[in-house]
Amino acid sequence: MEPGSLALTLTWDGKQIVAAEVVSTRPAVARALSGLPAARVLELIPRLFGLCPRAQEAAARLSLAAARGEQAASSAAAPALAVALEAIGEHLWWLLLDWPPLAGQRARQSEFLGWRQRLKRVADQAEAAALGGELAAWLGSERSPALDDDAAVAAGVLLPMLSAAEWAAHIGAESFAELPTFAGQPAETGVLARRAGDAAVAGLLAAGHRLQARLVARYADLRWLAQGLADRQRLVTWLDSTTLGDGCGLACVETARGTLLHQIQLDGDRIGRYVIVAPTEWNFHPQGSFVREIDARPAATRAKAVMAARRLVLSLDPCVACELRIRDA
Amino acid sequence: MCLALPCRIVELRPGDQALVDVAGVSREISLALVDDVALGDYVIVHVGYALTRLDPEEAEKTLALFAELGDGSWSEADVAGA
Repeated sequence: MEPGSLALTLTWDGKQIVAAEVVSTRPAVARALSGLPAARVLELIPRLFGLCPRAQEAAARLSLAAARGEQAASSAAAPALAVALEAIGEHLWWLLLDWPPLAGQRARQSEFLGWRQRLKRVADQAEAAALGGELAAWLGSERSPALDDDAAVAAGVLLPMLSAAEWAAHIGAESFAELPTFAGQPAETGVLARRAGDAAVAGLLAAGHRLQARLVARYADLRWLAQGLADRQRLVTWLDSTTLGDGCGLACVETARGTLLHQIQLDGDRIGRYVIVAPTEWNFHPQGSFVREIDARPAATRAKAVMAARRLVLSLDPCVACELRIRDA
Repeated sequence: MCLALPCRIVELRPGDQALVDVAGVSREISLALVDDVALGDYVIVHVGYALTRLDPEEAEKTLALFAELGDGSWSEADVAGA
């Protein structure tokens, strides 16, 4: 397999998927930042990450400021808008480019391009509010695609939205960045966790239709973000940071895919230890939502097994490529 | 975490497609989301699409950064997943 991707190996017995294994070879980028001057990290982080550079940058700034014991709360508004615009772009990518081909439709490329250009042009609060209005109108005219999600899967733990101070108690073990758990269990982050309180999402969730619930949750998240473009107070709830004692800072930032955590331990003015926990680590944990939901899923043919897996992967929206293998039982 | 490793455009193809070089392996990607891409330019790729175009100078800086942070082997290979 290629380094940097997720290898998903499913065992299929001709009737259902009987086992699933996740192997990650993602490089420990954060570890490579140890020893660098702290100021340089702020320049490096947005260059390192392709998909959510604004969220990564905001998390780096907030955690560094917290590690230095600086008050960063007053400056959270500007990154909050950038983080929200980035998340909207990621959701639209998912809905217009990623999802249609799996539902037997063409990708809606020109619509996506139109939104992408509008998102890029937002320069101030008034433009953000105007775009929020357009987005809300578009969402009102969109019909959430129906999905033949007949599988009912048992409830799994959804990651709550915690403050940075609350997070502090949960990050400890050396392996947390690669294998994060919440209260000792793998947990799911992302649109489902964030919008589990939405009435339509909660109903689907209670019935065990988690694929459909995530789809509805993604629209709910976009509606929330569209309203947030006109209400900065709402958006700043997506960013938080706290000082964890001497020279240590923790930041949590919400992204389209879920909660992103950065923790910096300073060693003088250099990085002593840098920990980044990305949403994909939660959802593709070896005992996480992907494995739990694909295991025992009925599939009459190999093609159906592949399609079930691809839909679930997309539903959980990893930020890296996945290599899928089906093995006969 | 998707790493933003610059990929060089080695061939332009009809229908807004292009070939990029990823650690010696060619991959076809779509240029539909980026403007004015020329042969030899660098782009950042995600699931079959070029996400952003980089100036050569900017690309060199980023490549140097990846070389500095890793031994180069994982960072180049990771672009397939980026």
